[in-house]
Amino acid sequence: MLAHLERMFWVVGLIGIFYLFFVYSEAHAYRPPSTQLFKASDLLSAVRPATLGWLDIPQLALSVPILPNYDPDSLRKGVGHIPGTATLGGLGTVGLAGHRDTFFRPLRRLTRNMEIQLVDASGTYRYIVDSMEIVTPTDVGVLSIGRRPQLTLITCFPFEYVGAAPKRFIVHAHLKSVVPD
Amino acid sequence: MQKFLVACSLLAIASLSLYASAAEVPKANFILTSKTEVPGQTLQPGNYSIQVVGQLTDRLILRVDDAARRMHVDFIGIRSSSNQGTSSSGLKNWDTPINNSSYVRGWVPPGGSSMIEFVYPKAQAVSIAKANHATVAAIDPASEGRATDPSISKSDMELVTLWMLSPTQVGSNGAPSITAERYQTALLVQQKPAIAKLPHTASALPLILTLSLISLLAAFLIRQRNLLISSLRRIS
Repeated sequence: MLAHLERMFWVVGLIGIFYLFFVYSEAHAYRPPSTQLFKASDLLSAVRPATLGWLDIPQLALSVPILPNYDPDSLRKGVGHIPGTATLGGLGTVGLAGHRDTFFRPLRRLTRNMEIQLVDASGTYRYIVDSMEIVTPTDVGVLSIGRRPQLTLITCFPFEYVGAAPKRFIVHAHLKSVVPD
Repeated sequence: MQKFLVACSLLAIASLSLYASAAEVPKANFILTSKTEVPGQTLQPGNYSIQVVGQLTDRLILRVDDAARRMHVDFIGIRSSSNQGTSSSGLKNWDTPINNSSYVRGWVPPGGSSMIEFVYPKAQAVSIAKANHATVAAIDPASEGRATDPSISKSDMELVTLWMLSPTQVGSNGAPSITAERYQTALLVQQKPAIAKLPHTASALPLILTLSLISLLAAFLIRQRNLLISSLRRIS
């Protein structure tokens, strides 16, 4: 009886570890070798065409592809653009969502005035962090259009919560220049 | 009775002024001698007419027709806050052409005292602002999920957010750039939210990791227990 139980525990544990390994390797396949060494056009040609661009936060060593939607499959590979919000560098509010336990985990260390870069085929758009806040999932006003073009990053909160976290961690940043570098 | 007469008089005056404003839809003809750009259309040399076809609190909808009425283009205009070059009616161009094309800055209607400034799509507005070192009104319909192919619809023209793009210098090296600010913030319209609920971005990975480690630990402990029991049996 115990031998069966032991075998079952080994199998369950190993399947879980292999699944995690698969998920992380799939996410890793979308990462560029080094974002600092590439120009925007080189970066985009190096990845699959499904990506809209890249999100870089140099001070957090965060570099992650932006996918056109925020469905579970997209969020395993990168961060997701929220359809209906502004295009990268657009006049409006760009909404991006990411997993707090993978790509957006470094957002815990984000502080005001840090630079967030959105890179697409036209170049690099630079946003400056204005504030962070914690809201409920129904507070969709965080995506509304403000006085300036903005970027809103969304991830679940608390970061250490196991399971469906009840709140959302929001980062607000404004666009420095409409013209990309 | 006197009050009734006063009320009737006021009503009559109000009706007359409403009729007058409805009748005074600004319209004018103009001739182009070279290729000229208006928002969303390149106009070839020829005869055209321009008129206001819609008026909202913060914007006007303008229409340009060619003389043969084979082509028309609708776009947004705003009442200009500056009075530069508004001494005479007619079209006013931006000073600096771009790629040998003149861009129309706005239109002063006949008898008008202020210019109706044309609102350009973002890419064109950026080029104009850069070339003329001036603030340019802009829209970016794609950033609000509005269709732009072949052109923005009239209903979207009434709702799309208006922006003012201004040239500036960024950073210690003074790199030229363009900042954007929403037009007439006092009249901000409440936008329909892009989504009904913020995305659920917590994956099951921490839970899977925890359960996997617990399973492996349990399997390891059972294995150790069995080994301990078997070694104790061998000793006894």
